[in-house]
Amino acid sequence: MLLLFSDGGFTLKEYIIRRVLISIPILIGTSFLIFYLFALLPGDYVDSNPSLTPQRAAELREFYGFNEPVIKRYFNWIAGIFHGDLGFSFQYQQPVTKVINQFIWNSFIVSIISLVITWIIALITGVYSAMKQYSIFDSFVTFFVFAAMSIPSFFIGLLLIKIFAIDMNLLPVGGMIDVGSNTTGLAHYVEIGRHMILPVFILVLLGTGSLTRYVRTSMLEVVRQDYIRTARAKGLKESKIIFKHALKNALLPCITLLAFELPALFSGAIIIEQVFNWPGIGQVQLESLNNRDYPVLMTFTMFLSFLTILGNLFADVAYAAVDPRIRLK
Amino acid sequence: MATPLLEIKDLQTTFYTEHGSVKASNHVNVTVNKGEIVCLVGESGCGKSVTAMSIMKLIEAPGVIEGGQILFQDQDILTLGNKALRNLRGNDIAMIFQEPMSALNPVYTIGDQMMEPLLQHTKLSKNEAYDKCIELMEKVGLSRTKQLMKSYPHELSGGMLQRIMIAIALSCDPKLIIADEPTTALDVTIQAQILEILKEINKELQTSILFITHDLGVVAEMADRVVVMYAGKVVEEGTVLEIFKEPKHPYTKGLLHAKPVINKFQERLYTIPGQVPDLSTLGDHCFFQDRCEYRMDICGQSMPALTSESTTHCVACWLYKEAPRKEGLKI
Repeated sequence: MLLLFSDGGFTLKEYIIRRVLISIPILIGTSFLIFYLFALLPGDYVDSNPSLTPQRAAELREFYGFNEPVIKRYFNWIAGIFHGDLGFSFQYQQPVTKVINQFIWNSFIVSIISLVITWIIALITGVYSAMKQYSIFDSFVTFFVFAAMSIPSFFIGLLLIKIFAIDMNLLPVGGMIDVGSNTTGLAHYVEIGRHMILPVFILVLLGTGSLTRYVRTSMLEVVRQDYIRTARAKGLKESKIIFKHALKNALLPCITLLAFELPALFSGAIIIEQVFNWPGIGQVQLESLNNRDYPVLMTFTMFLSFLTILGNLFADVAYAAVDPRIRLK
Repeated sequence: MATPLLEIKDLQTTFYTEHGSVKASNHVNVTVNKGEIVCLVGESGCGKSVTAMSIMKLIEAPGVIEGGQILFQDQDILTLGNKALRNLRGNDIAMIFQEPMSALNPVYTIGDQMMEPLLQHTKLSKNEAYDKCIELMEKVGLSRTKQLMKSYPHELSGGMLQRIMIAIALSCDPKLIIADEPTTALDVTIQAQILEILKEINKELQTSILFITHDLGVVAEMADRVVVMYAGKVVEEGTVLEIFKEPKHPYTKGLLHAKPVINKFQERLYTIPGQVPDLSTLGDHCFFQDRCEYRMDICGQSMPALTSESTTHCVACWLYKEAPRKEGLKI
């Protein structure tokens, strides 16, 4: 990630302001691209209902403004955004913000929990298998990582549902709460927690693999460095060598990965949400796509690009904070 | 004679690679007495650094120390447990490496890294350790010390970093400093300064130094005694005068011959013909025989042992075998 205009002398604050200003044209460009690409797609929301008479369909097109030229529709949309109006979902007959707000947090809790677990497991196993390169543990981890990455998530999902929900009857089959449930307070959270176990487990299983490999590779790279030998020659404890001298260097490249997790936290997991019937934003995306509910899709995609830009900004600032070799001034 | 500070006896360090096993340190014997500077000389890949690393047990896979003893103050380092070994590293024996630029951790300050061995090996408090670091930096000729303590390695030049490395090495008053080509990565004027510092330390504190280099100029400058290595074996050993005035082994002669001499016009510098043999495919013969101009029949059949020519000078070459053979090597 290149630091834009890093040749001048900036303080951190100036740098952040600069970066935020630079991201405005990027966001405008993105918004146009997103709008134009969706406009290019044939068909619209009216087409998704085949039972309408052609006359009624034409009336609706007129009503929704689908007949106007793309550029005009784009500026209508942008003008709406500046008024805090992100559009109206045809499918849900609600403002888009309301629809997204309603579902996104369901996805977020699953994502954030699996993210935290994934990173903890990946860091520990990655570091440990780098320390014991080519040991039985390392071979086992490597095998497991590739096995977990090779099996499609929907297959593991269905398999686990069969084993844990149907055969053993331990965990719910799907959904976020039991059918007809009206628990409140702590019991309600426990219930949601039980429903989350399987989806979180699968997301962790899928995410841990590649991240473990990243940490392991990065760690192996670092422990070969001269300064690790220096640390050893100083007579430091092995734990200090690994966790003080090696880990900090090994984690630097992981900052970029963490930055990309920011949009992923809110984007939902389309396949897993389908398999477990989880009322998350991933499902909403899929339905919106099926029903050509473009306002929802556009707003959501815009939101994710905004988060991506934000994530990159965070990463750059974090690098500057952690790595003394990168200075913004 | 007092027992030597460090005695490497019959050290065998082997690297197991895909292309066979490489005996990087092949039955090596080196002795370092108290207050002495011993230079370990040889071409790249002759096992100098491996021998040095073995002393600190810093050899990493696929390398294995397979045999021999490393007696430091009469204690065999190779049999020490992890804890005892840690107490030795950086404390009794300190090491200075070839590349000062990469030898310090880029994400921690100089001060942090200088204080580490002090906090590990001594009972000094953080403040006392800080003061000691300032003192050490001044000793190795650094100024603006307080500012340097807060700097990161990338903000310093190679020469400054090597001074820092020397200061770190000195911090716990070691009895032995192993300097593994400490001046190779530096330019000549800085080299001279670094060598000067090391010599001063040796004089002032009676610290023994095992100096690894391929630069004979440095050897002449520094050494009390010289050990010449070739292809993992010690081929000649003697005082600096003996080695420079009357080198015995054809390899040592070749090395000295390959040095430019001031005021003497030479079209081209002499080079030893051929190259260092592949250490993984050596048989039972003198390893230098294919490059040697004095080659005899016996050289291709059997390996000459290191034998004494005088009390301080010994050589492993068939050319000198008519002399009465003395077993063992006592200096």
